[in-house]
Amino acid sequence: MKKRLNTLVSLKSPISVNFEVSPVCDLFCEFCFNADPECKALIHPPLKQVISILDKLAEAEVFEIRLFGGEFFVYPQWQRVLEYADGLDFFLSFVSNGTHINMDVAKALAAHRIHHGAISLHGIKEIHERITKVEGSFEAAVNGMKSCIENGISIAALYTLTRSNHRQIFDTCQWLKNNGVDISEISVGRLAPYGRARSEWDKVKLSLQDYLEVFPQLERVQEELGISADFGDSFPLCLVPTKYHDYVVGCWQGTGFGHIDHTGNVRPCSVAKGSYGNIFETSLTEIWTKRLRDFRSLKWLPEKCQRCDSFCGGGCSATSFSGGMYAPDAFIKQENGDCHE
Amino acid sequence: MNKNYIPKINCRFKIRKDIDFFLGFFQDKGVLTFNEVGAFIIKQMNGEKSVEEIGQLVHEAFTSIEKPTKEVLFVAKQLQKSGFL
Repeated sequence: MKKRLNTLVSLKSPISVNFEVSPVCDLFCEFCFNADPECKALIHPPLKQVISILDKLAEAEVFEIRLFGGEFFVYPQWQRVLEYADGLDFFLSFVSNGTHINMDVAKALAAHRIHHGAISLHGIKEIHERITKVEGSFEAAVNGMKSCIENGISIAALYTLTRSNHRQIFDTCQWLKNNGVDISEISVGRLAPYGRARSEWDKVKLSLQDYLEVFPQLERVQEELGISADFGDSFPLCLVPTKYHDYVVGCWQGTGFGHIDHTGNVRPCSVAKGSYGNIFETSLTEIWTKRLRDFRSLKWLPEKCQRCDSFCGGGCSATSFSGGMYAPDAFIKQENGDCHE
Repeated sequence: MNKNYIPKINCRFKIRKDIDFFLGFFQDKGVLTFNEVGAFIIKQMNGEKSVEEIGQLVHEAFTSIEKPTKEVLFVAKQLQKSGFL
């Protein structure tokens, strides 16, 4: 009997969205997927537009909003956005570079029922600041983490893997531990050929071997430091030793997770560009139920992925240099040709 | 656990009607799916009604359910086992 094909579940709207409140950011991370053109040259959207997007998300009964950017906390009316979103009874969280979070900010976040947040940290001071190109950004991010933790907000460190930091995960976590920064989790993310990383992709991209060196470090972080460690993006499980499969969180793009940019455009992934529609023109439910059918059919994946028992979604769509809005993982094409050999 | 037990979901949560089922989002815990009766029962678990009282409400709302208190007890036990109560 022919084995049943994998498919993705259809929901009426995402469970959780990254809402890019503003595209503006004040760091200059060398790999930023969103940095085209320069983030600082972009302008903030009017508050009225941000509020309208929140109303549309509430209408579609999205449960959780992760306040996202750019950098959410450089948005001049970020407190108003926070209040309004809480008033709509969303479960709230945030993704930030952490540099604007002090005790007052953290208190405001906790007052609006935020229990978790994610702050980017890409290595110890020297590495982090070489990546962000802003002196002092390491201390500021670490202080942001501490302020949150002291106010009862658990923090995940988001660590984008690069050639300069992919061997420093344990050292970074150890530094945090030794300096009293009790993060609850470190989530490493994959470098993607978008924004600033794209122009010299062949020079900056990581090899499969580079990635495979990450897993033993995650294991060490978890076992020796007691910090939950995971691979936050999807990765082809067929290329990872079985004992590390549980470290791959995976991706629920286009099913439970979606991204809304500051103009209201909907996409299934925060990194990969393109749009399925704009929520000011079409309801989120219509976009989510009708325009992602082809994506959820998985017919764009190699057949062996479609039939795979350890289904991983075909890895990470955003890693494909010419993949468009969704495509098999770069390593599936490069290493296996036809996937899951 | 018996019919006098007063269940209360131990986190903030919301439930929505989705395409093929009801979907519950439980803060810090995760997502669960239910049928309509399950969703109704969970919404009553606010620490103010006993299993028996919720069973009575189920009986009134879903007349086809033969043993509503048993149904509530079953749901409560499952939730307790999973750390939601």
